[in-house]
Amino acid sequence: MSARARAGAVGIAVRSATTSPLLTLFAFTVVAVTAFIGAATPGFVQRTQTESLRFALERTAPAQRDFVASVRGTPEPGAGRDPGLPAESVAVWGGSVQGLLDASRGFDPALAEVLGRPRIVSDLDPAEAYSLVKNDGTPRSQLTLRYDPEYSTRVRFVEGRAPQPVQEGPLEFGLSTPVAQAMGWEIGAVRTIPRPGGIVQSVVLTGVWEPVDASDRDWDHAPTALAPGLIEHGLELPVHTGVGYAAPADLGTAAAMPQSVVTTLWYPLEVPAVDARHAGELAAAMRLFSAVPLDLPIVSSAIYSRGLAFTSTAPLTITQGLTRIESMTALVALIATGPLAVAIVVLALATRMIALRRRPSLRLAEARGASTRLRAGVLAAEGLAIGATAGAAGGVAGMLLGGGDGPVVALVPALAALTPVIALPATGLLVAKRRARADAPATSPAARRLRLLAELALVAVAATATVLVVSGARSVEGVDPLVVTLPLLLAAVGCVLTLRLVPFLLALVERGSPRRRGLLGLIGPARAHREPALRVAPVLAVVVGVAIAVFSSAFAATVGDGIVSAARGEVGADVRISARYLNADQLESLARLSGVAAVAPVYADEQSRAELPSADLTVMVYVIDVAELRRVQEGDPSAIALPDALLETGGAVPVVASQQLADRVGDETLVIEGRPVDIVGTAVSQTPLGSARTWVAVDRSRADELLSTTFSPSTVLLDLEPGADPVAVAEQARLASGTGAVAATPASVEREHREDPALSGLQLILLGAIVAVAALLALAVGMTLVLGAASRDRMLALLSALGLPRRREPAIVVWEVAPAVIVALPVGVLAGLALPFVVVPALDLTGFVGGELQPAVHLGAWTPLVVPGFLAVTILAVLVAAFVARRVTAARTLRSIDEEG
Amino acid sequence: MTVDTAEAGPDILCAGLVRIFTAQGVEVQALQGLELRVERGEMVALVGASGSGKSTLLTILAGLDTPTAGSARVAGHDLVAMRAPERLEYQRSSVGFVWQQSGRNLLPYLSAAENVGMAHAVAGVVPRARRRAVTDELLELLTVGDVADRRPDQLSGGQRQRVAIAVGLANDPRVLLADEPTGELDEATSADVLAAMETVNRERGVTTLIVTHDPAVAEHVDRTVRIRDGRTSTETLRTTHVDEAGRSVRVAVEYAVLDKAGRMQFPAEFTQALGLRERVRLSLEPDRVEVRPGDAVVPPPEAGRGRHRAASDDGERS
Ligand SMILES: Nc1ncnc2c1ncn2[C@@H]1O[C@H](COP(=O)(O)OP(=O)(O)O)[C@@H](O)[C@H]1O
Ligand SMILES: [Mg+2]
Repeated sequence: MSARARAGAVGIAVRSATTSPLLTLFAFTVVAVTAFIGAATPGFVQRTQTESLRFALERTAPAQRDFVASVRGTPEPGAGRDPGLPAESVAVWGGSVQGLLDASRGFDPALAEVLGRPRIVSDLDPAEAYSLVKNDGTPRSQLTLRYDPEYSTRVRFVEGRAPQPVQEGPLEFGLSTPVAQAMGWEIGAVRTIPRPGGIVQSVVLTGVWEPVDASDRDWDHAPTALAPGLIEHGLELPVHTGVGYAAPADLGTAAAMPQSVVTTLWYPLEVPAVDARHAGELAAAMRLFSAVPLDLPIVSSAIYSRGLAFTSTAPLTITQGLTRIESMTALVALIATGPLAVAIVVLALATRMIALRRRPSLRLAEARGASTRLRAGVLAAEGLAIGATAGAAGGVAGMLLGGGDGPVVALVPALAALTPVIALPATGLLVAKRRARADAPATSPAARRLRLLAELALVAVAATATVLVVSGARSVEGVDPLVVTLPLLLAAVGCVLTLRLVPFLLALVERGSPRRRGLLGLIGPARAHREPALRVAPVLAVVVGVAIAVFSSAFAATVGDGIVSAARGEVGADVRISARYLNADQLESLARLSGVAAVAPVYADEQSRAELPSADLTVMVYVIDVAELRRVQEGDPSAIALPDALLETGGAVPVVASQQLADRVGDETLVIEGRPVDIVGTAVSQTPLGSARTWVAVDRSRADELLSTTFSPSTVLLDLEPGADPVAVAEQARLASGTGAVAATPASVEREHREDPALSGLQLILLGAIVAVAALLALAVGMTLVLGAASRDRMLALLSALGLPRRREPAIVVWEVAPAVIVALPVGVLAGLALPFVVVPALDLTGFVGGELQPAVHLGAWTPLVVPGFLAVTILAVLVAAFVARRVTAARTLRSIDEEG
Repeated sequence: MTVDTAEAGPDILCAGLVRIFTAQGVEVQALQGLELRVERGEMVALVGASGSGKSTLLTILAGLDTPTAGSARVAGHDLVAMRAPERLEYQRSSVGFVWQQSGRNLLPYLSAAENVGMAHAVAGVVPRARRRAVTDELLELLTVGDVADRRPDQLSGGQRQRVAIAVGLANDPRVLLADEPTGELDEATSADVLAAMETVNRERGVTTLIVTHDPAVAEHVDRTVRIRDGRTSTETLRTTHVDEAGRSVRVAVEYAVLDKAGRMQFPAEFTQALGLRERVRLSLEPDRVEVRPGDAVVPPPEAGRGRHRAASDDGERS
């Protein structure tokens, strides 16, 4: 006898577990793929969210997103320990920069991580520089003199020389080539600048420079250093503006007139360092930073120093981004429950297949006296071997590829890994149990009552959850687990319904006249009626899969439509022009452009002082022409409602107020600039008229009662003639509106929104979910048929002995799944259609679509295609499975009759 | 536990055993008051038509099923009162079995020796150190030692059943149950396997109950119990004696079985021959009981013959 191991319990279990390598491999693959996708998705979502956040931050100007403080006066000179400044600046600026660096060491780590090296500059107030010779034809120029301790690292002098500190004589400075050209300033030329207090300052251009790196974001803090700006005042000569650099060590000159100096300090926001995962803490840290002023010694004429308050739009942008991130997380979690549930069904089917293979061994072991615990333990160990290895392999691979972190990454892998550990012993012991008769599972009245109770409980829970979600009675921080699980609950109710309906319908079919239906019509429904165990899996897969697919498709359509209508609402017309200032001529030429049907300018917009009995506010006053705006916005669903009351004369000034303002006012009386106003209508706070959120719109005829300047148009809404090309007209209109004008069309705004990585990421996930549930559905249906193959083939062998032609056999296969699928499909569709109506109002989607209105639910063009698509997938799966099943079992059928029970 | 090894009583004792299967409201009475007694070390064959309840009985005796009513004691265990732990103990060490299908006896992916090892591993009755020796000894006893490392599909049908017997005996049970162990085998191989069982019964003193409908089996055993409709109907006892010519002759005598309540079953040919139906007349004679058709007033002339069927003519040499 050989020395081969006389197998001990472990050896036998291992041998037993390796007898069906294909099935084991299949279960392994399902676990691994589920774990992989489950582990990779959080990383993908987190990355998308981070990208989306960075995208939003990137879209705001650096001067706005950086943390900027400004104060009148100059920094106190001093050297500092190690400020890292160029040699020429250390002596004067070192102390201040050191102070900023030291302060940043005390920042919240989340904040410190995203802030770059602090910067400080001092500017002598912009003032016109006059040529020494009057009317010599030099262009009018307004010069801002800047002292920047680090400027020498950013510019390279190409002509002349760098400015030096001077004891006597004109103050030296350098300009960029384009600015020097625009100002007509020759190197060596001296001009004079009048300063407050009768001081006249002479300045001399010593050199012309070029930027070392023109794309450096730092230049955003010196907008007219690289290229000149232009101020136009009606008929007067235009004024060229620009920033010139004086020698930073020469700050003493400026310090002599602190009332004319503004020192600006900023910590640049390093957008690439922002991460969505910690965005909440970051925004909080930012707010705290803005709220607590920094103390830095400043030489100023003010007696009382308030400290430096650093402000930025970044926390607002991040907070807005967070609502988008949260709804995306909720949505992904919600959608992921679908594929996950079906994957677990597939996994359970796979373990059932394995369990069936183990049945003879289990029965044998039981008969030989193996305890239930031992048998369950061996199966659980096998499940653990499959689940743990596959879950770990897939999970780790997914984590590495997805790059996500946090416990959420391990959630799905753990679920997938645990499923076989639980399902294998459970199904193994179940299938090994001797049943009296395989075709008639005995269900006791107690079991039936239990099932009914469980179903009623499920329906009750689903109904309660739906009511809670729809009524919006709950306010949950972050992702609401109720919203996330609702789709699964609804789908589960759908399953219960289907599973109740199918036997009922089958019984009807069975009872119907048997003579007309022939043999198959008799056997098909009879078998389908009696194999309920096999029905649960495909029903669950179809209902959940179809529901999630329909929901995903409808949701994508809803967001898409929401973006379109939000863009339309944001632009407010076919084209919107924003310029610095539009004169009457320009307005007229806009109205005359070919393709333009009507124009509606915002004649004036002014930040005004408003009072309520309870508080003081600032309110933006927009001056419009009611008739013009009505005409331009005619037929637009997002049009601002303009009641006729706006045109009334006498009494309180009639205005339309933004919702935000109206909510604030309540039933109090609003007084603007001393005049009581009458709010005759309200409108969405975010409006095409301007960027303010608390505003009133007043008709031109009454505008003079609230504002002194009633004509300073900077925004115009254009209505185009039918057939006019918005892109072409927008371009024409932009050119007609002077320099710096911007034209927006709904399409251009929509495009901008669609560039948000969160949106493309979400669409990818929705599509991925549809594909995943379709694939899993096919697997589930296929496996169900393969599982049923043994008993089917036995019956087919019998039937063919009775003379059933082989070509009729597929009908038997179809009968096995068709009734369940046919009932489940519409139930799934119904659940899927109900979902967006229930879930969308519970999620804040404004972050995705822009605007502030929750988008209305749309089903979109693709949704109706989901159903035939799934039907096709199911039919394909049935065909393939029937073929595979016949192949697999043909050889085994006769031998296995006894063992299959 | 109520194991009573010192008990001198029979190893298998069934009284009034009833097993009713219920499936969707339809009741099948597989056993209807079966009586069976097998003494320690005895080898008994159980015969009967298909569906008469033989497998049902064996499944109960193997501890895999419980009777609906009646009592069953095997090797000192009360199979009815037995709880789960005792049942496991019983299956592990008191009883071994061999079924007709090798799929129920042997794991296809284990070798013959490993299958015996698996029985050891599951039961944990035989000490680890002795398992290997026990395995070799058993396989040798059943003349399958040379194929110990082959898997079932590499064995002949006869070898497979002999390995199955070895597995059944792995934990040295007091009782061996076999349900049609030769059902799938040809005549010659059947004889081999039965001979092996006889050897085991003789050499190890294992109480053996073999279910079969193979008449050849009956020739190997001293006692054959026939069951009909879930009840023990007749018993045949065989004895070997040497006839006048010095030849060894086996004599079989068939007895009807009377249960505790005094009931007995008539063989069909008896009732048919005399047209016994519904009511019969019984009369007690000094040495026998007479049964006559109920409508016959006058006793038939031949009625004096007792129910003996000496069958010396169908005997055979051993
Ligand atoms: N698990 C069961 N469920 C229902 N009826 C059964 C079951 N097992 C056996 N029977 C019925 O009990 C009777 C006796 O069966 P069985 O003991 O297998 O007979 P035998 O082995 O003598 O052929 C038969 O009528 C059979 O149909
Ligand atoms: Mg049988």
